[in-house]
Amino acid sequence: MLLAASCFFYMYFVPVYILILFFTIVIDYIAGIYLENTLDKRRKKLYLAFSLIANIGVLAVFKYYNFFLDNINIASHSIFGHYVPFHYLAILLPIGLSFHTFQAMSYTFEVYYGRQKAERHFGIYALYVMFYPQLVAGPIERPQNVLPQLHIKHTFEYNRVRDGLLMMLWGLFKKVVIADNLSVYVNAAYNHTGEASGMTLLIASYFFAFQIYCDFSGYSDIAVGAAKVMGINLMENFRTPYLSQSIREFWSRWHISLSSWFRDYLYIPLGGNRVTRFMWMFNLFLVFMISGIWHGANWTYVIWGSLHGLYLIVGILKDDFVAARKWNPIAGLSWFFKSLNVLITFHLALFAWIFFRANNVADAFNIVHKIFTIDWTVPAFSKSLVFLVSNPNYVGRLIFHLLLLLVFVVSDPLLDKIVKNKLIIPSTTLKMFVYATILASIILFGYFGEVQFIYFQF
Amino acid sequence: MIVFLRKFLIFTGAAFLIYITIFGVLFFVRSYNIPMIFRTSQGNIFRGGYTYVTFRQFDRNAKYDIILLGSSHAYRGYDPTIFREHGYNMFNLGTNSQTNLVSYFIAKNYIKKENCKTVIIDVYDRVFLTTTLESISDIVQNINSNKAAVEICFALKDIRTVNMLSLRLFNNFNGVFDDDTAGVVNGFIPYITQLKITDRLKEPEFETLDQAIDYFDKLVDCLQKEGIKVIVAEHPVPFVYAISKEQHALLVEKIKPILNRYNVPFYDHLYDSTMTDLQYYANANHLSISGIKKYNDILLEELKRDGHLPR
Repeated sequence: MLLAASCFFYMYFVPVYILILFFTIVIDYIAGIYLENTLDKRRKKLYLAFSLIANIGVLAVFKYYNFFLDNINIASHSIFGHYVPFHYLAILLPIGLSFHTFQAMSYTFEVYYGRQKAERHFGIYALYVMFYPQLVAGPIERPQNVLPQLHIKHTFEYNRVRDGLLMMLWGLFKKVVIADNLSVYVNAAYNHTGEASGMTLLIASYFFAFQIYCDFSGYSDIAVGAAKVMGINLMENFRTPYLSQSIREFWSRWHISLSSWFRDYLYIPLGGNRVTRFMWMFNLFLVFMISGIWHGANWTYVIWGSLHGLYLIVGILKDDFVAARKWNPIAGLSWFFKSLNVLITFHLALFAWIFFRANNVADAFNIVHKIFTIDWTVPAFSKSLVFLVSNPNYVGRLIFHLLLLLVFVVSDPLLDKIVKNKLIIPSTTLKMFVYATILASIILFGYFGEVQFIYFQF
Repeated sequence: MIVFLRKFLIFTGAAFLIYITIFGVLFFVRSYNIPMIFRTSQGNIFRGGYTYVTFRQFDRNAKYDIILLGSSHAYRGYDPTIFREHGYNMFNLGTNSQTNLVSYFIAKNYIKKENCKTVIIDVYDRVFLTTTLESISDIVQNINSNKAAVEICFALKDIRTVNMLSLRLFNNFNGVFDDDTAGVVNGFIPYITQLKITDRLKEPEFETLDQAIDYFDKLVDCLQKEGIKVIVAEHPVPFVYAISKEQHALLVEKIKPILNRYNVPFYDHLYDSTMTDLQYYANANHLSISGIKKYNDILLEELKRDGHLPR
């Protein structure tokens, strides 16, 4: 039943793409069984390679083929002065391709490492890859967590269904009230970087930092909540990442399922930190650069990933520097340094988001240039607000959304804990009041225009 | 399961109470003398303005020879005074970006055999491609029939209409923002500007909404069942902004079967070769005073010539 629903969900976008998904599912299913049945290490590697080539091959064709040709053409034009008449693929990217491909690959890896038994039931395995709440934008699950749950028959449990629905409600709030309202202002600035001032772009960049957090974590909450309603517990994907005190901590709280995927299947196999210091840093940089490419076939994502790699390397060097001098925070001021670290980390992430959101590399550098040559006067600030809303009469609405964002920023850490049952509200009435207010706010302040989830495109 | 349903109902009730409370607070708390609720969304608009005046000018008990339906092309492009010169009593019920869905519910609630002989529907390609929610907000706030407002909101199947209906309710506590009737004559109000731009603009490609075609069908059907003669017309737009002929042909292809089925004449003046001069246009989309005069005369002569209107 769930598999049929998942197939229907996937086919709703481009029906024929289900064949691509089934192709990788069949390959990985067979590869899993062969991997388990073989003791010969060389053969195991061969089966693993076979599965990985199939998965990465699909990803390469659909996601990176045109990007690859584009870059060859750019190189060809700058060296030989002419373009090569390549045949470009005029096709839509299958929805959530990067997510379900990675989920399928995690199964093959786990079976290869012997940490997971091969799934013999084809339907269950297919459902593991296609489970619709997390099919298009994760969390990228591990077989150990999901496969056993798919074998159990689930019955209606009041508490579980309630918790799942409330989690979905909170996710929807983040998406339609915060992310989608902010997207209007972000698009106004980022799609017109030529005309937008530095102040406009700075405000839009702050907005984007919260837009992408609310958009993606909102989707994750909806996915985790929907799965919970059906009796499946998915992994946590976000843990208030903007409260991180370092970029390293940020990546243990942002898109946790992806960062742990890269850690387990790329960073550790490369040697992790058990190599020379130089190689360790090189590995970190490489992993984050690849993580950038995973997000999209555009140099902006590569720069975004590389920046995070660079941040981590600088973080290691800074820690070494501090440790060598045996510096300790001044007693009684640790809260100040913690807050300062949170602020610095947030702004480092924000700077990288500029590259993530910009339409192209030239735009991104133009935005950075404008932000660093900003006009800090009050009239410039007023002009920026008008630019974002396109009409002076609508500035009030922007200010209202700003207030809404502030309320969200203050309440998010607390509500996140309540929704995830990490903090129990003793009063049922109070709990109902909180959630009823969230529902009322969605209807009152939600933006219900056509805004897709950002991570659907990956 | 019963516990779940019971708690769900209590929860929904609590959410409704909180919703109304917040809405009320935002409606009565003002910043710069404007209720806060108008600052929360583009869809929340004041009661008043052109649409408000039009529906209060319209007399359901009067007998009109012709009623106009359509977007701003209708209420800014068909002058009742010119129709009067030709011997017809006309009222213009066009509203801002009026979609076929809205036209249908206006027809259903306002136009009867007893008060109208002929309806001219001005079709404009763009209203076939959008649900124009903000314009619907305008009509929901300003139409003087609660039934029509509720029907439009339900037909839209869009959660935003909940706010529109709440605002309609709360707007009863507020004065009308602008009820100046000067300039609005039988629902008609022209632009008095003159188009100057001559750069050709690229028209984006679009696809018509199935919903728009469905409601166009329903609209014609509803009027004909009422025994009212239906005429479809499309007024010219400046060539520099004109929708491409290919795009327009696609729309015509979609509405042609409906027109044929109900035997409805279509006076397509979108590319009228006698109206290419920019002096006939007030702006990118609308006719100027001289343009209205020329186009209305042409159309009315054609309708009389073809026997659709009595001479």
